[in-house]
Amino acid sequence: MKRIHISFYSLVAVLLIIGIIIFACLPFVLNGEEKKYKIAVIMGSSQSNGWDTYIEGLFNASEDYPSDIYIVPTNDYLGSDKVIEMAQEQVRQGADALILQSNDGTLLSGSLSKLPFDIPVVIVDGYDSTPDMVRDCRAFMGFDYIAVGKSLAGEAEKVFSTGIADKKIGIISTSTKQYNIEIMKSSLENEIANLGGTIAWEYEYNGGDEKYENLIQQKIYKYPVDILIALDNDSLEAAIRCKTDHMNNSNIAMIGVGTSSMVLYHLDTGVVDALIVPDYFAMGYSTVRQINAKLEAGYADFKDEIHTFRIIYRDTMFDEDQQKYLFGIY
Amino acid sequence: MKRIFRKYIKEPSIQMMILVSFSIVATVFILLMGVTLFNLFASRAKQMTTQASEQLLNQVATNLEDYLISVRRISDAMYYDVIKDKDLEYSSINTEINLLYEAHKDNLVSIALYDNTGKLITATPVMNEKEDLDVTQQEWFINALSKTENLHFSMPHVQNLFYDSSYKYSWVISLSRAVNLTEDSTPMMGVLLVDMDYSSIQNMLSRINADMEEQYVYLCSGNGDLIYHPKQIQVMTGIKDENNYEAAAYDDGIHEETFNGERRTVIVNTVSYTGWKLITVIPDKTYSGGIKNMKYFAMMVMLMALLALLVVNRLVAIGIAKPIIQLNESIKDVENGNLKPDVFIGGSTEIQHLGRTLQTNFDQIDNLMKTTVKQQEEKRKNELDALQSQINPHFLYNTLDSIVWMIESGKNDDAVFMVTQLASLFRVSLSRGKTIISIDDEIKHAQNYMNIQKVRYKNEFTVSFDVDKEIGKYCTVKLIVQPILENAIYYGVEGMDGDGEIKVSGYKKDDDIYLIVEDNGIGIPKEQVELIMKGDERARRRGSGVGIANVNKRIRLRFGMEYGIMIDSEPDEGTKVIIHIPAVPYNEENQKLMEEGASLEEIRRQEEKRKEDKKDTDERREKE
Repeated sequence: MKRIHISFYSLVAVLLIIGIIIFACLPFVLNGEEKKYKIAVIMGSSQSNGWDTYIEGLFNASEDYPSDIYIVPTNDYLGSDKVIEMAQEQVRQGADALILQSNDGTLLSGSLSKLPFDIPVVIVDGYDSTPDMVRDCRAFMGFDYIAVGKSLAGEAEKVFSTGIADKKIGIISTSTKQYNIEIMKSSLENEIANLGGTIAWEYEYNGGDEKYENLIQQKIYKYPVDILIALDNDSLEAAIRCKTDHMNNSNIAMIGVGTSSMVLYHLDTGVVDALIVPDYFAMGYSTVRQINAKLEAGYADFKDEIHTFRIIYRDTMFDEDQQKYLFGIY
Repeated sequence: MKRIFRKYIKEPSIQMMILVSFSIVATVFILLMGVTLFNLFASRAKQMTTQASEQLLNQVATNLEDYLISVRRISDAMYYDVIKDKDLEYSSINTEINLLYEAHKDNLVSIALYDNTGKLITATPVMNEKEDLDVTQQEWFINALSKTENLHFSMPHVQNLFYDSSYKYSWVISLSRAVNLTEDSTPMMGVLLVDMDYSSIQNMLSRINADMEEQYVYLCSGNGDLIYHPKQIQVMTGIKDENNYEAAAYDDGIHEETFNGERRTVIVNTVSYTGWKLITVIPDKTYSGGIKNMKYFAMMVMLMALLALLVVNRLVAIGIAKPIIQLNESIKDVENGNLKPDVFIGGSTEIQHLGRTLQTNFDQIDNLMKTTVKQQEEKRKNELDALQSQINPHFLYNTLDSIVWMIESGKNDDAVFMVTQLASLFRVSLSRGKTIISIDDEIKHAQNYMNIQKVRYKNEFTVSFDVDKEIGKYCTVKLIVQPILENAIYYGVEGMDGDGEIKVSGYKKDDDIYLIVEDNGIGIPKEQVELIMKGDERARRRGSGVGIANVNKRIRLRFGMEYGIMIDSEPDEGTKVIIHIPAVPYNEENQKLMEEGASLEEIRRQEEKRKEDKKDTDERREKE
C-alpha cells in the first residue's frame, strides 16, 4: 500500500511539475515574433508606374497578413526564362512564395515545373490552360481581358458621334507575347472588326535606344490614325507624351488601359478620352491573402482569380465612388 | 480492482483520508481563489485599459480639435484680417494669402477665394485652374453659401480645382465659409476655401494606431461616413467590415457591442465644431491578449501552490497517521500472540496517552495472567498437598495395622467397619479427581475419618456432628474439615483420657455457610494461631502437616479472600475453628463452573438465571 501511495503522489507531483514548466515556457513560446512569410515579386519593369497600384495592394495586404514583400528591381523586358532564373535565386535565398509576371507570356507549366512544387506561385496577368499542370500551389491572377478588349473597342466607338466605321485605329503595346496583351488585342481586333473600324497599324514596343513616344510619333506621321488605343500603362504614358510633347495635343482620340497618376492626370486634362482601370489594388491584396492562407494551411485552396475593371471618364472621375477607386487613401 | 476499491475507497486508511480530504479542500480553495483573483485582475485590467484608451481618445480629440481650430484660425485670419476690409478691385491680397499659406503649408494644400459665381479671385499656391470646372456644384461651395453663418468642414475628397503638373492629386478636407467681399465698393458674397491636407489628420491618427496592437481609432462624420480608418481602403472596397454607422449614433462614452461575432468595447468622443466622431474600438481579445501571459503565470502559480500543498498535505498526513499506524502495528502484534508487546508511545499528546494506556493495560493483563497462573499453580499445589495428606502413609499404615490387628483378634466386624470407613474416606478423598464436592460428602468424609480415629484412639475422645441438613446440598472445596479435625485430635484432645470432645457443626446464614470444629482441648496460643494461619514452618506439625493454613489457602483461592478459616482459641479452654465459605448450591452446573474456576459472581448469576428460567417454565406449564 505504501508503495502504491508513493507512486500516486509521485505521479501527481510529476504532472504538476510538468504543468508548471509548460505554463512557465508558454509565454516565451507563444509570444515569439509573429512569423512573416517572405514573398518575392518578379515582374517585368517592376519600377514602372503601371505597377504602383498592384504593389500598393501587396503592401497593404502585408499589414493584415504579415508578410515581407520584396520587389525584385527590374527595368526592362523580362522573358519567362529570366523570370524563372530569378525565381529560383529567390527560392535559394529563402522566399516562401513567388509572384511572377513575364513579358513573353510563356510562364507555363513547362517553365513553372522548374520551381519547387510546394512553394506557392502566383502568375500575374497570365493564364495557362494546360490541363496537366500541377495546380496545388499555382494560381493565376488577371482580368477578363476579352472584356477589356471589347470595352476598348466600345469606348473608341463612343469617342466619335459617327462611330469608328470610317476611322483608323492604331494599337500600341509593349509586348504582344504577354498573355494579357495577346488576349486583349485579339478581342479588340475582333470587336473593331465587328464595329466596322479599321486597324491601321499595330505597334509593339520591345525596348531599345529610341524612346517609345518618338517611335509612336513616327508611326503616326507615317500612318496617321484617328484613334490610338494603348493596351498597357506604359504604352498609354508613351502615347500621352507623344501627344502632348510632340503633337501639340492633336485631335487624335486616345483610349487605353492604365492606372498611373500620369494617365489619370491626362484623363483629367482631356488628353485621354477614356481609361480602362483594372482593379490592381484588389488583385495585389488578394494575391497576398491567398498566398498567406496557403502557407498557413497547406490544404487551403489556391485559386485563379479574375478581377474587375472600370471605365473612367473625365467628368466622372471625381465622383465619390470613383475617386476612392482611382485615388484610394492608402 | 475490487481489492483496490475496497482497500482505498471503501476502507481507506487514515493517512489516505487525511490526504484526500486536505487535498480536495486545498485544490478547491486554490482554484476558487485563483479563478476569482484572475477574474478580478482581468476585470481591473480591462477597466484600466478602457480608461487609458478613453483618456487617449480624449487627448486625440483635443489634438484634433486644436488642429481644426488652427485651420479655422487660418480661415478667420484670412477673412477678418485680410479680406474683410479690403476692396479687392484695388487691393491685392496675394501677399497676405501667400504668407498665411507659407506659414501653414505643412498642413494645407491650398487657400482659395471665390466669388459667389464660382469665379476664382485668388489662390495660393499658384496653380492652373481647371478649365470647364464649375465649382458652384462642388459640395464645399454649396454648403458655404447655404449656411453663411457657419464654417463647413467637408468629408475627405480629392481636390478637383487645379492642375498639378507633378500629376499629384491630394486628398483634402475643405474648410469653406461664406465671406463678405467688396469689389469696386460693391459688397458681394464669396467663398473662402481652405483645403487642409488630409494626410495631416491621417498621420496624426496613424501615429496613434501604430502604438496600438489590437485596438484602433477611427474618425467618421456625425452620420458615420468614414473620414479616417486604419484599414480605410479595405473598408471602402468591402474587404473588411466596420460598424461605423451604428457607432456614430452612440452617445459619447464607453459602449459594449458585438460586431461580426466579436465582442468589443467602443469609446466615442465627439469632435467639437465638426460633429465628427472619434471612435476607439477595443476588441475583447485585446484584454485577453494583454493578460494572456498573466493567465499562464496565474496557472503556474496555482500549480506551484498545489504542488506545495500536496507536499505539505502528505507530510501532515504522515505526521498524523504515522503514530496511529505504529500504534495499530502494536495492536496487531498483540493479535499475533505477543502478549507483552512494546507499544508505540509517540506522536500527539492524545496518541501518546493512548499508547501509554494500552501499554499499562497490556502490562496489567500480563500481571493478571501471571497472578492467575500463579494462583492456579498454588491451588494445584495445595490441592495436591491436601490429597497427599489423605494418602499419608502413616495414617494408612496405622489404620491398616489396626485392621490387621482386628482381624487377627477375630474382631472381623470391627475390621469390616474400618475397611468400609477407609474405603469411604478414600472415595471422597479422590472424588474422581474433583475438587468441589457437596458438604454432605465432606461431612461424610470427616465422619469416616473420625470413625477411624476413634477406633485408633480407643475412644479417647468423643465427636459429634450437628450440621444443618439444608447445607448438605451446597458446594465446598473437598478436604477442609478433616484437616481441622486432625488438628483438633493432635493438638486439642489427644491425651485427655476420654474427656476430649470434638464437635462439628454447620449452618447457613444468608449467602454464607459456616462449618465449625470445636474442641475442648488445650487450646492454641495466640502466637501459634498466627503461625498456623500463615502456614509458617515454626508452627507445630503432626500428621499430614498440611493443616489449617492449607485449608485456609484453598478456600481463599477458590472463593476469594473474604472467606477462609477463623481460629478462636483459649489455652486450656479449647479451640474453635470456623470455616466460612459461600453458599453455592451443589449441582452439576455449579460444580462444573467452580471446577473451571469461574468467579463467585458468575456462578451466582448463572444460578439466578436458571432459577428464573425454571420459574418461567413452571408458570407456562401451569397455564397449560
